[in-house]
Order: sequence, then C-alpha cells, then structure tokens
Amino acid sequence: MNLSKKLLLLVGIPLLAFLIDSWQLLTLTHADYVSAMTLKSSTGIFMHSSELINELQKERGLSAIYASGGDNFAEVESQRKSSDLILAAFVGVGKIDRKLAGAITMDIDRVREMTLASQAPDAIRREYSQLIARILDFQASLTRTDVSTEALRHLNSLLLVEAAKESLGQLRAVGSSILESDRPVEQGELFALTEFRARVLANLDSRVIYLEAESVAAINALRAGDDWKEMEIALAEIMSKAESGDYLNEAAPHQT
Amino acid sequence: MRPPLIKRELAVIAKEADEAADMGINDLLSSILLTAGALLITIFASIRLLNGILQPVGMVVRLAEDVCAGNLSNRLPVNSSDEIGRMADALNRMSDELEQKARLAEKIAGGDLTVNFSLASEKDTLGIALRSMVENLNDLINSIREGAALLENMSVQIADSSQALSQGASESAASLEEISSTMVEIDAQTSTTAQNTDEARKIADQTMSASKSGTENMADMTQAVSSIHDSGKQITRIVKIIEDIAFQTNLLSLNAAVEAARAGRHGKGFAVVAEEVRKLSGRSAAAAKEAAEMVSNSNSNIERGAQVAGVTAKALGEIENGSIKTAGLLSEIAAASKEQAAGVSQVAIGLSQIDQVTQQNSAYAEETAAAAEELTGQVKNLREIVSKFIVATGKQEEADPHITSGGLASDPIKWGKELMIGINKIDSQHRRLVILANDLYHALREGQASSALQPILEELADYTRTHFSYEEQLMQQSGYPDFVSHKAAHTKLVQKLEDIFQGFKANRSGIGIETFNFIKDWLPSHIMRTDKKYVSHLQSRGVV
Repeated sequence: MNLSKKLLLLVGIPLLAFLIDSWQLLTLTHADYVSAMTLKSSTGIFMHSSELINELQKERGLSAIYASGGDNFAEVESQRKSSDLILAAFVGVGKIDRKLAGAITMDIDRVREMTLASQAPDAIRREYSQLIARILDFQASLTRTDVSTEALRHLNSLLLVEAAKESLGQLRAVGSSILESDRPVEQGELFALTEFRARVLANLDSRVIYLEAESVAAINALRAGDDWKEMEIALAEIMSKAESGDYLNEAAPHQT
Repeated sequence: MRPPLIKRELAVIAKEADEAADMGINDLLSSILLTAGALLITIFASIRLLNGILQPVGMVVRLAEDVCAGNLSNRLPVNSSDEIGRMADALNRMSDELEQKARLAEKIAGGDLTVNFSLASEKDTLGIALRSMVENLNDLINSIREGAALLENMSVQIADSSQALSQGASESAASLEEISSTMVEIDAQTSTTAQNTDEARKIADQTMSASKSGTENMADMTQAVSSIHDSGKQITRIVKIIEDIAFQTNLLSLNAAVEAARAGRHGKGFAVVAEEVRKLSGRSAAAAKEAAEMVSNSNSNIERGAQVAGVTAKALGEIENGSIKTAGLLSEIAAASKEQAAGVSQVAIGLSQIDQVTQQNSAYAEETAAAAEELTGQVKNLREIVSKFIVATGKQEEADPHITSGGLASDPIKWGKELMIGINKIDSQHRRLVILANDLYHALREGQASSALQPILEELADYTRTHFSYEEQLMQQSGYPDFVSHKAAHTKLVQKLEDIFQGFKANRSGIGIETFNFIKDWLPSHIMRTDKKYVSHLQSRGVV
C-alpha cells in the first residue's frame, strides 16, 4: 500500500465517520422534524377527538336517561346531531385510520340502536364508555412519539385531563343511576364508583400533569366548587346507604 | 371541567407543535447546511493536505530514485520550513555531498591521489571510507612503485642469472655427454673384462679339475707302481722259484740222462728228452736269471718311478691348491667385474639422468630468462600505469595522524614530493633510506637495546653504500661533471656512518639522538640540493 492510499485512509476514515455521524444527526433532526409535524397534525386530531369524546359523553348521559324511562328523545336526537357533526369533522381529518373511523362510526350506530331499543341503561352506558375508551386509546396513541417537546408534554397532560373527565363522567353516570333507582348498591357498582373516583383524583393529582396556569386554576376552582362538593356528598351518601338505598331525600348528583 | 380548558390547552399545544415543527425544519436545514459545509471544507482541506504531502513526497521519491540510479544532478525546491521542506533540504545537501564525493572519486579514478576533502560529520562513513581509500591507494601505489623498482632489478638479475645458468647448464650437459660416452666405453671394457675373467675362471676350474684328476691319477699310478713293485717282488720270488724249478729240473734232467744212459737204447729217447729238458731248464734258469735281473732293474725303476710319482703327486697337489685359489680369485674378480659393470651401468644411467636434468635446467633457465624479460616488460608497464597516479604527500598525512602514505605521522623525516627527484629507482632507494633513518629515530626514542639498534644501523650503512654505488655508477656512465665532488660527499658520509657503526660495534661510543640529527640534516639536504642536480644530466644522457 503506497503512501497516497495510506493518507487517503488516514483522511478518509475520519471523513467517513464524520459523514456517518452527520447522517445520523440529519436523520435524528429529520425524525424530530417529522415528529414535530406529526405532533402538529396530531394536535388537530386530538382536538376533534376531544370534542367527539365530549359530545359522546353528553350523548351517553342523555341516552342513559332516556333508556331508564325518560321521554325527551328530542334532546337525545339533538345531541346525536351535534355528535354526528363532530364525528364527521373527526373522520374528515384525513389522517385517521379508516378502519378506526369506520369502527367508531359503526359502534356509535350500534349503541344508538340499543338506545332506540330501550335496552338497559347500564348496558348503553357501558357501550358508550367502551366507545369513548377506544377514542381515548386512540388519543393516547397520538402521544406515542419519539420527540420530547413542550407540546407533547401538554398533550400528555391533556390526555390525563381527558381520562379524568371520562372517569368523572362514568362516576356521575353510575352515581346518578344508583340515586335515580334508589336501590342498594351492588358490589360491582361500588367497585366502579371507587375505581372511577380514584381515577379522577389520580389523573388530576398526577405529578406529571402540565397545564397552563389558567387551566390549572379552572381545575382547582372546579374541585373547590359546589358541584364537586355535592358530588362528594352524594358519593358519601351512596357509600353510607349502599346496603339500604333510599337516597332521594338526601341528595341528588349534579348532572354534567 | 369544560371544553374551553381543553380548547385552550389544545391551542397552546398547537402553537407549541408549530414552534417545534418550525424548529425542526430549521434544525434540519441548518444541520444539512452545516454538514454539507463541513463536508466540503473537510474534503477541500483533505485534498489540499494530501497534495501538500504527496506532491513533495513524490518529488522526494523521484529524487531518491535518481540518486539510486546515479543521477546526482537533480535538486528539490525547498518551499517550506516544515518536515517536508527540511527533508527536501537534507536530500539536496545529501545530493551535494554525494556529487562532491563522486567528483572526488572521478579524480581518484583519474589517478589524482592528492585530493583533499572535509568530512560532512564525524559519522560520514562514505567520506571516511573515501579518505581511507585514498590513503590506502597512496600507500599501495607507493608500495607498488617501490616493489616495481625492486622487481625490475630483481627481474634483470634473474634474467642474467638465468642466462648464466643456462650457459652453465649447456656446458655441463656437454661435459656430461663426454663423461657418458667414456662411461659407456668403460662399461664395455668392464663387461669384456668380466667376460674374460669368467672364462679364465672357467679355465681355472677346468685346470683345477684336471689337476685334481692328475693328482688322483698320480695316486693311482703310485698305487699301481707300488703294486708293480710288489708284483716285481713276487716275480722275483717266482723267478727264484723258477730258478729253483729250473735247477731242480736240470737236476732231474741230469738224473733223467743218467737214467736214460742207464736205460741204454731204451733210454736214448728219454736221454734226448732229458737233454732237452736240461736245456730248457738251463734256458729257464737263464731266462729266470734275466727275468730276475730285469725284475731287479724294474724294481729299481719302479722305486725310482714311485719316488718320482710321489714328487709329481705332491706337485700336482700343489697345482690343485693353486688352481683352487686361482679359481676362487678369478670368481671374485668375475663377481667384482660384474658389480663394476653394474655400477658403471648405473653411473651411466645416473649420468644420463643428470644429463636430462641438466638439459631441462638449461631449458628452464632459458624459460626463466625469457620470463624475467617478460617480467621486466610487465614491470615497466606496471610502472607506466602507476605513474598515472599522483601520490599525495604531507597534506594527506596531516589528514590522518595515524596512517600516512609515507609512514607514521611521528616520523621526523617526512617522505614527500619535495624529496622525490623523478627517477623512480633512486626515489625508491631514497625512500628506503628515509624509512631506515626514521626507524633509527624511533628506536632511539623508545630506548631500544643495542641488539635492536645494530641491525638498523647495519642496514642503514649497507643500503647507503648500495645506493651511493648505484648513483656513482649512473654518474660515471653518464659522465657527470660533478661526479668527483659528489662521490667525495658520498665517501664522507659513508665514512661517518662506518665510524659510527664501528664505534657502536666496538662499544666504544654510544649512539645518541645527535647521530640521528646528523642523518636527518644530511639526508634531505643532500637529496634536495645535491642529488637533484644530476637528474637532468642523467635524463639527458638516457641512463635512466
């Protein structure tokens, strides 16, 4: 091997290492960029999915009331239209998996039919809850990215808030159902109440939660507000009279 | 918990995501730009760096290959003071040194051994080797010159000696041929003598046999004579018996006659017979008497014959003894003659061999003479070749204090050009004298014993005489006008040396450094002032 080849090797090997390192840096930078762009697009999807969850939660409550003997189907119908509008916006985002969108649409139709068939309110709530849980899982999948940014942190915190909100909705739904039927609490319902409350508190008190100051203040105001206290009182009432029932004279859970 | 919270948070998130995306694109672009820039700079710098190394190194390699191929004329441009620049400068200086040494080597090859050069450093192996080579060549050429001069003289002497030897061998061969022919004659005569002696020995043997036979016959004859003598005595006794018988017969015839007479006529016949018997007895008696006489005479003769036979037998015995001695002597003479003949033959053979050897010696001597003449010619050629070399003197000696072309640096008399007169043989002799004088100096300085000084002094004196004799011979041959005064100077120095040497030998005077100082003053002065005067004269006369 002559000197020129040796020198070429001497220069070429670090140059090649530099090229590989640069390529890796570019790849990482590009991945960060792609993650940032994905996160940006996920933010819109997250927004639509949050609205959809919010609408489905409303629809779940109204449908459960209707299924339990209510007569204001027009209110249910109106909510379903609102939900459909949001669903259309959600599905129309374009970056959502077609299968998921189709499955969610089919589930919504199926649970609505259950409502029309006047099936058991618990079953309707459970179906809505599973549907909302699927959307929450979808939301969680949006936060699974390699990039670590403020936006992702906010998104994760928002996911916790969404989960707390859903748990709170389920807690209220179960509580309302118990109070409205004024019957002793079944063991499964008792466990559900405990679990949902624990989830609400765990998510809201999570140390990784990272929200804007206004949002934190709003949550704190909510937890310190009368509605929250009434809910706590109602839960305490249910727990204390779980075996006997007869809650109607004491308290009524706040409808969200 | 109301949607506005989520909307607010989502708005914040969207803003942050936009910022992250903007930052990401900015980071990506800046990374691409930085990487591309760094890559370009690195490639450009690498190319410059490689060119900056490879080009000068390539030039260095080409120069080194040129130097390897013997081309020392190329040089490298020195454009920097870094390692490559220093290497180029060092290679240029190396080429300069090599070129300088190559030029010196060319001079040496051209025969100039007076070259002088400085070493690049103490570790300049090539320079040291060249210097050593020059010094050794100086020594070698000087030695060859001396040796050639001596060889020339010796070859001439060998040629003369060989011719003389050849001539002597021829004469010896002629003498040997004469001796050989004489020896052949002697050989023939000796052979004849041996043959004659052998025949004489044979005759002596025959004589000895004859005398022995005669002695034996004489003994037989003596015996026969003795027997005859005995027979004579018996015959005498028989004759006496016969006489007695004749007497008795006579008596009987008488008696018969008586009787016959008595018988008358009847006895007449008987008487006649008796008469006849008486007559017969008478004749028998007479015959017996004559026989007795004859026997007596015969006995006398036989006795005398026996005596003569005895004497003859004795003489024959002496003859036999003499014959035996003669035969023995002749046998010895014959053996000696044979041995002499064999010796003469061997001498002849030896002479023949000597003759052959002599003839061979003669041939060898002729060949040796021819070879010596050829050697003389070759020596002349050698001297012509060696004369092309210009030998260094003092400068070279100064260059190395240990080894010089003429001797040691500590020699008080330096042999050099100033002491050379241009006549090789005389220069060689002068150099020999200088060496001997320096040897004497060193021996004196080292305080060597008289036993060590004596051979030096002796050789110095002898060689001085030899040299002066040669010079004087040349001057005399050429009719040198200043010959007398020159010879006088020679004689004076020889006498001085002789006195020193004799005084030293007789232990009458020691040798001091002043003796050497005298030689040291005299020798160079004589060579440079006196000897150089005759050079042109000798050369003009063609004696050298």
